Amino acid sequence: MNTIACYKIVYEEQDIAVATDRSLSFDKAELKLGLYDLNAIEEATKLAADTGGIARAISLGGDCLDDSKLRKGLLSRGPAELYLVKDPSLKDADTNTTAKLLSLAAQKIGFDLILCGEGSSDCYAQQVGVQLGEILGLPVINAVSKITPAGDKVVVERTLEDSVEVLEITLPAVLSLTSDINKPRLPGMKDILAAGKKPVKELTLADIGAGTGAPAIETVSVLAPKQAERKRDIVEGETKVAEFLEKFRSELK
Amino acid sequence: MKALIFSDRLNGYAELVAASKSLGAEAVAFIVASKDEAGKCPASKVYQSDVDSSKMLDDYFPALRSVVDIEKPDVVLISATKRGKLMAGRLAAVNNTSAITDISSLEVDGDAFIGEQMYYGGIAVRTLKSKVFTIVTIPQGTFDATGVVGTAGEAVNVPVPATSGKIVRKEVRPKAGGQVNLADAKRVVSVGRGFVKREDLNIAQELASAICAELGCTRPVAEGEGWMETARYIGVSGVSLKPDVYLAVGISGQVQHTIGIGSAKTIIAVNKDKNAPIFKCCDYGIVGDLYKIVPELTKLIRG
Repeated sequence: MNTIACYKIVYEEQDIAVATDRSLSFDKAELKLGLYDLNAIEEATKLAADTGGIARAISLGGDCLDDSKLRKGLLSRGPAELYLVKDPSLKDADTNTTAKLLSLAAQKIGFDLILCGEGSSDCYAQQVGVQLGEILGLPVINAVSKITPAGDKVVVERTLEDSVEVLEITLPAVLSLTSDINKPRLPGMKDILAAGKKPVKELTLADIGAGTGAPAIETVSVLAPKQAERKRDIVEGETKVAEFLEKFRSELK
Repeated sequence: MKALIFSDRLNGYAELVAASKSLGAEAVAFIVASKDEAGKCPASKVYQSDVDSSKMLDDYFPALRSVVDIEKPDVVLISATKRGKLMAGRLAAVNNTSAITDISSLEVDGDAFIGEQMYYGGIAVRTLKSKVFTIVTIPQGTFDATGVVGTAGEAVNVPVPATSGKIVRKEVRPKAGGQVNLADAKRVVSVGRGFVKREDLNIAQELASAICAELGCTRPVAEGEGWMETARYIGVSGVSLKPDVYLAVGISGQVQHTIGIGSAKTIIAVNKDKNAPIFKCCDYGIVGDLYKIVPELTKLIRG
């Protein structure tokens, strides 16, 4: 089974600073692979290995895709090849643009199964995978928490709010995963060295036959939320429990 | 203005009607239910498809799509459940647009809709603008459904769509651990990494029983340690709460967690690190060893 894992480069959230005007500063923030995308990379690698197929990874974006450490970091996690669709206009591409371009690239690359993570670490819209499946006209399911290969099908478990569905899905297909489907590997030194020898293929919008279109959704602002005023009445020490309790006892009645 | 509403839960429609009203829109519903059930939906017009037990709810996507094509709504409002998000994404794809997901607020601005959603797990709020024909997913509890009464106006039957057979449901089973409804809990005791091992959580459970609270946790406790079911973790991608009392035990208070408790009336924290961020966003706090403080607290509450 040939697999493709989709991923997004995001900022390390711990490094994002909030300015006094509530705007965000990314100046000191490192770039990293999306946290939930690691599950897609791991699962794509495992399924391809178990079935004698090839695992590939794909991302799209702007200049952030040039980062060689991130390319190596990705390839050290298992995929045999990396495809990058690069264009300055893709820096903040919306979910529909992303899904359309991924569909074009994926058709060019070829696949049996495309995997997406639970959501991106920045927007967490959980939409690219489901749109991608629909655009490709393929079976598409989200919230997949287990995948078992079964010839030209896969049997998956889908974990919903109140129930678990067991589904048999005919390939090719597109699946979005849950973040507890697997524990992504930590690459060893050997993996990192091997990653340097794996092919990285850069694609332009023209290479995949894409035109440019205006995004359907416009971002008006990104601001840190206003903090609700809290009393911040703090006592110190294990001997102060009674005093502590009296402060809010009336609210527990 | 017209809103088309869809939920995978029958009790989700009242809130979507409330959301439509807040936009000044007429609510037209698509619902997969019996005619009787659909008749209880408080929308002005209801498109109803019969429940076919051999089908998954997702199989009704072509029916939803056809209703959208007939009604041409200005906005489609969908409950932000997993099934809801699949429907929203597929509908967006066939209409060449992106859905605005998990909004915390939604307003009309001329011929556009303005929605707010979390960015980077709550570090910021992103305000998005979308022109008419907008698809939005709405988390449970965003709009106040009290006062939404009435029954369906005009009813239209939509045939159950044929399926491709490419996705076959073999089995459905209830989720292990049962259903937890933290979102509706009035009081919540929540645990974090300050606990050393799983067995120690009974200290928090005792406190929760003493004040009739539900037990919740941070993401690492549910997903890293696996000490609790994922339905109990609070914060980004987990549950958001609006309890009267939220008691955080051994929780440092990373923004990814505290975003889920911003609407709590009173936040109370127990943590051994006096510099923990939780003390900056709580009402009452005590610095010290939770293993000593929490049992003592429980004892004093029980009197």
